[in-house]
Amino acid sequence: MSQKPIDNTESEDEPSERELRISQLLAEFLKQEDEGTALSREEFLESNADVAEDLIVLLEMADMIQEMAGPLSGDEFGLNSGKKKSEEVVANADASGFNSKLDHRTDALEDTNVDKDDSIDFYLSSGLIPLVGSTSSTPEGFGFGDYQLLEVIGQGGMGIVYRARQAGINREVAVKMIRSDRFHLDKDVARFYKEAQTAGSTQHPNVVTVFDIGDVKGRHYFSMELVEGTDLAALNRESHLSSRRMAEILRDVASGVHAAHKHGALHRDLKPANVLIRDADGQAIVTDFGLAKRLENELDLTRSGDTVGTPSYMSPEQARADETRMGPASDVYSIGAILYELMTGFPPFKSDSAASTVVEVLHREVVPPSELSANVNKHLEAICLKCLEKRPQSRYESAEALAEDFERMLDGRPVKAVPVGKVRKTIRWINNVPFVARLSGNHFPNVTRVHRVVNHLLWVIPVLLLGLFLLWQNVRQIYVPDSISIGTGMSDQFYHQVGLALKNELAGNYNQPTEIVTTSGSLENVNLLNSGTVHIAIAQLEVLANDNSVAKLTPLYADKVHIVIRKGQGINSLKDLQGRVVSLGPLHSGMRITSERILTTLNIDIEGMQQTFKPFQDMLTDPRIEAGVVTTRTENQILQTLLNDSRFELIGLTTSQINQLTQIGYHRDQILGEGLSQVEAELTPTVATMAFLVSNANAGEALVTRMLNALFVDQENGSIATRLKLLSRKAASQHPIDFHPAALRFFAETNE
Amino acid sequence: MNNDTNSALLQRAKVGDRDALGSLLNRYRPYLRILALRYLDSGVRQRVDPSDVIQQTCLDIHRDIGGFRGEHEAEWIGWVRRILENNVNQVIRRHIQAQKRSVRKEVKIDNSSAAHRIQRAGPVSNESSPSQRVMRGEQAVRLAMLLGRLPEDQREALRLRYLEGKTLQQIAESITRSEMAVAGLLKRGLRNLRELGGTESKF
Repeated sequence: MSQKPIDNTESEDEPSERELRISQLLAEFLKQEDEGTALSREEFLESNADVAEDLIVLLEMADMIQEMAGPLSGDEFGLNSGKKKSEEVVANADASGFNSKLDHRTDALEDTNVDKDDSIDFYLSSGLIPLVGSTSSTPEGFGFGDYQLLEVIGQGGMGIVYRARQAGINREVAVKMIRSDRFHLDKDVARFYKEAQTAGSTQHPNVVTVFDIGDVKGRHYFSMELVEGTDLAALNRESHLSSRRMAEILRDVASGVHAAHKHGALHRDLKPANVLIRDADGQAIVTDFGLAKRLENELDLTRSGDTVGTPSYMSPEQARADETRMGPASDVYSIGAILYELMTGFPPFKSDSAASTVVEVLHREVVPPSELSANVNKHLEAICLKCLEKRPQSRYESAEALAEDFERMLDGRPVKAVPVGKVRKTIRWINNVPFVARLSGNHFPNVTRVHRVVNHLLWVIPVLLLGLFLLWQNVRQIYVPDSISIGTGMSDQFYHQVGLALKNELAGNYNQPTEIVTTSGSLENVNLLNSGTVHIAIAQLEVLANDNSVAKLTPLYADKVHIVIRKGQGINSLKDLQGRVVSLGPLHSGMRITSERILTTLNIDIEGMQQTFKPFQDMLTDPRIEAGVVTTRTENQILQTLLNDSRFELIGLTTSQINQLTQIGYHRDQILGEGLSQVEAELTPTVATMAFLVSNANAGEALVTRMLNALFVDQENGSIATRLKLLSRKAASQHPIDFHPAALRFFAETNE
Repeated sequence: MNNDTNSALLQRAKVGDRDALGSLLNRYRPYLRILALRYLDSGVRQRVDPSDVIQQTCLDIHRDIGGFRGEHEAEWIGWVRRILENNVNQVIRRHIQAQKRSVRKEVKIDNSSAAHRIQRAGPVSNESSPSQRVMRGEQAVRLAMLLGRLPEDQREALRLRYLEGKTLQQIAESITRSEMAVAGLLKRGLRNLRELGGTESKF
């Protein structure tokens, strides 16, 4: 931010009588304002013409402060409600002098309203639009540089427009003052001059001629041709134009705009109010070239409605402030927007706020005029829609091409723009079905009643599918296969015994045909479950890890890890297994997976062993096997045989080994010495994993409940669980893992 | 960081950039000052330094920035205003209590109007200046910043006239100068402001 020296001394001003006079006049003006006796601003300026230039600066700056500071309190919701609010204040105010002051405030507000009103725009042709707060012209006017300012003929966001007489040449011109606060940067000023000059140098009957640009004591202004006539906004309000007249006017506009384009000047703010129709010959003349939008700095989206130049006529690239894509086609778009308003009475997009209008300009598809208005000329509509294409390259390539197409229409020749056809209409229609619109990125579809119906139909299909799915789920829940298949294990293993017990139970007490499938163990069981070959199986926790396709019904028993060694071979710990012949379990068996996992976790090199795939019971017959890692229940008959043989003994795991294994999900356990003659210590420390009854994750509730009933519910000879010394259902419900939901319900209900 | 926009600073401040928050608050200081002056009656102002309220507000903002959920500067302005109003409210309440305890009421204070005004969420009504401006939004912040660069007496004159809607006479009494002198201050203030507005780069 540049720091400029700030005037802080009276001494500079003091000697000048002129400065004293200005202060005095300001004081007078403010006092009158306070007392409600103020003259109008114009009267005040005119009666002090000698210092008017200085006074204007002060008054405008004061306006700017108040504008920047926001509306008056109690009037926070926009200027339109200003008058009403103020009247209420007046009504509430006491009679002691407040009234007059507030009356004046009300006037001030009305002035502000006028200032914001779109209908009275930057340029007003003389006499045709009632002027607010203006006075009749005085014979002499007041001086401003080379000009005598005669009469205020317009007032807009950018400044005041005067009818003025140019000294020397003695012609009447329009002088537009640029409000000083509109320039924020020096380069804005430079650009303003450059563009105004470029446009001004465009000698074309359809472009207002700019005579002079300059500044008087820092107040920038420009003077231009005074057009006696009316502007297109007013004309369109007052009378309905024929299609032919519309085409003539816009052909003139396009020609003028093209001439300026050739000089490198874009208009940037084409709208009905910037098109003047001269009374004398009906010629359309474009005014305010390259000025307004530049001076408005940036589009202020925080304001509402019409306060700032409306974006209704802006091309998408301009609304996006995408300078790189702005070009002649942007002005072509605006001409199309004007045509649209002439045909339908409304600009293509108009919303409550500038911000939402911009969003519409960017994303919403324009509704063809023929859908809004009867008797729309279809050639004119085609031209209009071609101008309003969102992509610049889809519009007319130049304003000249547009002018030519208007000319063709006027001559009765076919226009180049393609009338809205059936196909395009249909596509557009489909694209407005909300569901489709969402898919295609059309954020603001024009939704009719029929669109809604179609949209609802689109929703009905998925809803039906969902319904069918839920129905199927329900059927599945109560479905129990005609014959339940249970995957167990080797026919001599405990898994198999449990399976057989279940089969008998189901057949005997539940009249449920059941089939036992013997397998190689846990791993195959899980595969069979996944393939649907079996419905129920038994598997070690180890192989279930991370398998979401399998659901646990209940833990059955603990499989403990037994390290069985042949005595006298010098094996005292797991470390001593290096180089030895060790049985880790048959290939792909659950037992082998467990053995490998345990040894790996304990950092014992499996590769360094002479592994054998022979089952551990071969230790009895094959003297080469020196050790076995046997994960099973201690009650296992073969294990018992082994342990009761004096050639073998158990070694325990060390505390640190057990700790390591609990990290990977095993739990601390002990092998009871009871009945085991060779075990000297009564308890051998080890770890255990669980064998589970499992089902496919999709198994229905009825099947799960039936299996658990068969397992846990007491019959004449007790339940399977008690007979086979399995874990009780109480233990099962306390196990901290995830079960099939039906199993959880079973435990919750039966453990009351 | 001097060239960053307020919203860029705001985005960085939200994710914990303390420097960005500091810079942002520096820019908001003049705005907070104007609001604080407005909320604190001149009676209260004799005892409470508006700078303390602003300081407290900045500290609160530093502490609570993590809880600010807004995206836009407008939301930020609203949030900052609420914090300031809260602090003013507390100060006034404390002040009134002190006032009640004080036996010798050296400063007359219209406690009903001061407290009541703030309770109604801001300076909405003030009988002495029915045309007060709401001072809301980014433009207001920018204006405050420009005003902050004027000499004190010019700034105060402009503030009382155009933001508080005081009459020339009221201003003259308030700053104990002649009406003519006030007009002189306003004149120079307006010109300086125009100068600043015309040369200033966007922040």
